[in-house]
Amino acid sequence: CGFQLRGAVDIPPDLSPLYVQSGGLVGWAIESRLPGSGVQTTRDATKAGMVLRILSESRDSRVVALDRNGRALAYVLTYRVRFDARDDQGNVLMPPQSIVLERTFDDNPDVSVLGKQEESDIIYQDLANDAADQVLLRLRAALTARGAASGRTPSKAPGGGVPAS
Amino acid sequence: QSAADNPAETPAGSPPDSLADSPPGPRWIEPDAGRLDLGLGWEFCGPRPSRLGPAPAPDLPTPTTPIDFEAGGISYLLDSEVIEATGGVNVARAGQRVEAYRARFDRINGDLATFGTTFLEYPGVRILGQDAQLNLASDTGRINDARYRFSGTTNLRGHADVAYVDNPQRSRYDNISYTSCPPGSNAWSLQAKELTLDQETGRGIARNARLRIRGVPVLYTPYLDFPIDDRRKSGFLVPSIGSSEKNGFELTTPYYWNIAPNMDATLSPRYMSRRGLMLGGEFRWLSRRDSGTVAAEFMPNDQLYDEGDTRGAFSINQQGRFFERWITNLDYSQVSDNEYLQDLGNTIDTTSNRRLLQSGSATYVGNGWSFLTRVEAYQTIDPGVAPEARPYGRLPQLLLTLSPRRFGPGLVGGAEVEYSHFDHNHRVYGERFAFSPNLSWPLRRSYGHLIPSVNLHLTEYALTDEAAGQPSDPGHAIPSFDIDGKLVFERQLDWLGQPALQTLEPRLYYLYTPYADQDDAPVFDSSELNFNFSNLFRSNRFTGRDRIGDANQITAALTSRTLLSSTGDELLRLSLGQIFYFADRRVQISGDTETSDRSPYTGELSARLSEQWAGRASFEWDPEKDEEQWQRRTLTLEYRHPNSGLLNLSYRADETAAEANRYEDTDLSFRLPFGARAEVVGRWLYSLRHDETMDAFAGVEFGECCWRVRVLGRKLKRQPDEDASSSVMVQFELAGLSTIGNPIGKFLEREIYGYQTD
Repeated sequence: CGFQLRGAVDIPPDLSPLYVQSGGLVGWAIESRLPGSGVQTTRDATKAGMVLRILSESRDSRVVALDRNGRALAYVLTYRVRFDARDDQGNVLMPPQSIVLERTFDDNPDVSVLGKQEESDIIYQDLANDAADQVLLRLRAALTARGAASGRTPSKAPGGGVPAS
Repeated sequence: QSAADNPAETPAGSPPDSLADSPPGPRWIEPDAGRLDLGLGWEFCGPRPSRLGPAPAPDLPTPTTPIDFEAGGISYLLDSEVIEATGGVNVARAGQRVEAYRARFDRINGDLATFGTTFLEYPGVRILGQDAQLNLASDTGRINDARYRFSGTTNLRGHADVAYVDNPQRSRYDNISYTSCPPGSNAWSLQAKELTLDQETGRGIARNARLRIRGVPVLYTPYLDFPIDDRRKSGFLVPSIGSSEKNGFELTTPYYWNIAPNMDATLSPRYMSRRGLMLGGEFRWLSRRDSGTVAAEFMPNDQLYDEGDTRGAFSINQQGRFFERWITNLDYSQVSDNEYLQDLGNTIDTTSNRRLLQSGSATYVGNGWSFLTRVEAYQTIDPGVAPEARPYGRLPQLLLTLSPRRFGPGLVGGAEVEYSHFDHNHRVYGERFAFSPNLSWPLRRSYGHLIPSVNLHLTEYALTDEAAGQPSDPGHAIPSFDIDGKLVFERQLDWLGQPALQTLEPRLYYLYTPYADQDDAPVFDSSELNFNFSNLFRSNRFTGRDRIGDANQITAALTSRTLLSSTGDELLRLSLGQIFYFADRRVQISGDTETSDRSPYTGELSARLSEQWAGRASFEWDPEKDEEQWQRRTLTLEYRHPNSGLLNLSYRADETAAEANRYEDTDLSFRLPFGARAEVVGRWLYSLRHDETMDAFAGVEFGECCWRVRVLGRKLKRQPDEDASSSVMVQFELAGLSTIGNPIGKFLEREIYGYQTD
């Protein structure tokens, strides 16, 4: 039905290596997804051909379900990340944009509060992993579009060598 | 036309051209009220709206700017150096202008007197009046019967018996009327015996002032201090008036104190007729190293509570980064009694709290490792939580994390070492030492990944107050193995006329953890993870380190995404998965061994339906159950309009918990603008399970440019065995008379997801 394995495609050499500028969860998640993908990364911003900047990362929660006594039973946890990408000349590859993800978190009062607290941390980590996948998919689209514009469209399959999660 | 290009401070310089050389003056047009607004708009009322830092102070004209002097006819008295000009006089200097039919200028001391109708202009200020006495050397002066107009950083207008110009930045007025409403509107005005407007400080100060609404006096104040631009500065914020079933009549008059550019405070006296006076305060700071907030509330005697008992709340929140590698975090809240937040909280997030976190931590971040020290306790404020069920405190927790490090042929290894002392007054307590190394061998390709990994969980306890017959030093050493494999297929697709990419992502996850008897171990920080799609791929079905679930199972899952080819934006994502068990799960926190050979199905759906609409859903479905097959379900629909209209609708239910903790709730919230000047907001959180409204409010905001009214009515479930209690809150805002800041707006940001104050 037309499906084929996602192809790996060279990143234009002038954009390599990639530097991920972030101190947060999503930055770590992105970096851990890159090895083995053909994308060269660097920890030295001055050597980068392309910079992916995590501009902001924030989390928030709000009550969405209550018990008979008016006490919280469920929250929605929201994770928001804003990012952009530029080449080493400062040209925009991806304009600043946001991804907002959320998940319901049940706070059962009968169980270990410390355990539940860890579960909310796990959820934020999950959401950051999800966001990392989406950031990389958008970067891949941006690089494909750039490649098409400069006549370097890969012949095998579309994509910029950015891996699946 | 005669020009005296002399510096203003040396008016006694060379004489001007003689009268005989002058050509005829410009045709004189008497300035009228229209001149005040000529070329100026009224796009905003009062201070220019802005949230970006301090407003730029207007440019000061340099004192050396030359003066242009134009008149129809000029006579020059040589011996006294006085110029008599008539037939239309126009004196101009960069940014300043004086126009009158007749004027006398004394070149020695700089005095300029005008006769009859006179028009004055300074940067940001225009005045039209009679008979001005000015001094061009000192830039001071006065003018009678003055109509004035401010523009630039603020839009203001009015009339005064006498206007004094102290300098181009500061003016004073006697018997003045003042408003920020556009010409033609007299919605409100301020009448004051004296008023000073200082553009340099951005302040207006009125004495003996009366506020008139549509001409009717409503308020008298001997002294009023208000901002005339958008700079952050001390002053009263918009007060709010309210009435509630629980507290009676309410009045809050917050005062904002701008201590320093990186420090501010807000004092909020709150009067409640049935309870008495409460004093609230918040202090915020921001420095290169840390930032934080301290907030406190104090009620010396609450007449509704325990015969006038003292009540209060305190919280501190701080994040810091010191000496490059130290990160600190303080999050501490405390209230005087269990009912405090329910009685006095204003949002459902506060009134529904079961507990308050009291925690502080410091982390040292090394290269590839970090060390966390944390103390953590809770104040339980839900009386429904039995003493034994209250949370453990961690006094302290020490955690060394060795970050995942690559070595050898693509191996990745890391570890955690933890020591904690868990504290409790009503249950077994004690120390726990844990060591958990892990090793994985990730193979990642563009078309998928294969990641085998091994984990080891070593845990030792030293316990006090354990039940009779239980060992005081249990421990366990449990290995675990898993392998995670995923492939990504994709194809091109046409999505409503746009090129798109559709993926199919099958994923298999195998997990093996041998059974180890952990019944002797206490449950300090372990709880069972909710069953959902992400948790299908977790190597332990419990959180924490007290329980490591035995497992021999495989997860099968499939995800499909549709992405817009041009941007990579996700248009649609659908995930579905299930676990197949090859062994019973004997390790449990409570309850019996689980014996089913497959889990319920779990899935997620998220869809961008159009530019404005988005939808999400998630579920847990167990076809083997006879009833309540849909165990957990959420449905959310979101609408976002570019003109700030929005709507959120959601439905959430959980049938898996104990009877008292199950829920089935709907939540609707919205913001609907009506034209440019009015909007309606609201939220309705309803429990289908208890057939009861938990939180509902509706509000309307309307007004013109120079005044706004916000009215908000609400019902909030605060207490068990009581219906939601109702309250009303009203806020008037007169643009240009109160400091920016809007507590109702903050409340709406909290309650309506996606709401942003303008």
